[in-house]
Amino acid sequence: MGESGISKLLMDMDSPSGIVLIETPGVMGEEVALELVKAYKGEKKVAFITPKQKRMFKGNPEFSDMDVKVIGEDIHPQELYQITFAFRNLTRKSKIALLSLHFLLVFHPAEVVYKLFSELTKISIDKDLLLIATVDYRILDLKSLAMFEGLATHVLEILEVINGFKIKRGIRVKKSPTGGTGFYEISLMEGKIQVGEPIE
Amino acid sequence: MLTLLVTKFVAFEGILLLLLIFNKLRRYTMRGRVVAMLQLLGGIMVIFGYTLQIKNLPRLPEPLMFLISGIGFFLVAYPFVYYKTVRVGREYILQLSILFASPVLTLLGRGAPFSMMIPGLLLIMAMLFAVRASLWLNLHTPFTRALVRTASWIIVASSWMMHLAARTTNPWLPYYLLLLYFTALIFWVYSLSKMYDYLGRWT
Repeated sequence: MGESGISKLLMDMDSPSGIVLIETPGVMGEEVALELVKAYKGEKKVAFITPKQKRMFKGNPEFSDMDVKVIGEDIHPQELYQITFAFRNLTRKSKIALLSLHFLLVFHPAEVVYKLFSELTKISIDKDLLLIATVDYRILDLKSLAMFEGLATHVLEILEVINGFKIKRGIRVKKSPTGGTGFYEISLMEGKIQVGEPIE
Repeated sequence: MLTLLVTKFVAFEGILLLLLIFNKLRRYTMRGRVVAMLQLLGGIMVIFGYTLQIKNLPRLPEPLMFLISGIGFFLVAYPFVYYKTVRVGREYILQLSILFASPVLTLLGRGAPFSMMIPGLLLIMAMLFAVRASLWLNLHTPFTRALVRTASWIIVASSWMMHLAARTTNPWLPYYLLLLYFTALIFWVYSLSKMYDYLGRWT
């Protein structure tokens, strides 16, 4: 990763605790979230994932220690209290939690999901947990997005630019205790996130 | 006739996209499979009912065809009720008020005859519901949300235009009205296809 803002962000989080919000178009953010999770080897992790991600996790030794709760099987987006309940019941040993917010936003207004996220951030701080949440920013207006950003300690933003037949993706640290950065090129190579040169 | 067929085809496409969206969502919801199956049945009933209206081959009575389409529309809309996503805001109430005020022209003897107004109003109501229902799922960008809201207002405006079209001597006016419907439906279908695209990337 070199001396990019992303590596600085990872160094910020040597002792896992905090709220990371990844704003993404599509599922690129989930790949970045998994990359962040991989950095914390040996820590107990819990992930609230989709059935599609479950297939991705299956048989991957890197996620064998992860406690998985599948959206649509173990918890349902219509019943938000199930998520709060699952978070409250996490043991002190759990250090990292992963959650996609856009599935909740399909069924509930942004204000309701914001209240849930606010509750989850409080629980995460109490339990000394690192919460990594992803959200597809295209379905949120700027005001709602700003509300979610307000609760996060770190905000990563992923951008997609279509140039002819090529899609260029960029990532930046939008908010962190050490400040933000400009956009860096990002690509997915053989299942690994590669952060490249800064984008002008 | 051809323009009417094209408009209905676009409306069917919208219903089909709604079915596809809920088919994607069913894996994330409780009893999602049953709800998706009921909605599919509703979609088939709507398409069947309206196709019969175009070419009534089995010679079914008109009220029965309306009943089939009506139950179909209810089943298409059922998942919104089941998932508790129905949100009736001030804008929707205003639109419904404008819509229900349109028969006043018929009562005053200046609008479309009752035999034409009642099925027309029911169709417009069903279309307004279907178009606005897509707003209840938060899968829109600000742009597609604006498109859907514009489409819903065009549909509301068409409830008053219907009376004008029935009374006019201008032979082109019914086609202009159809063009309005068509534009509203294109906005709706475009927004639904965008929703489906987003959902397709997540699931």
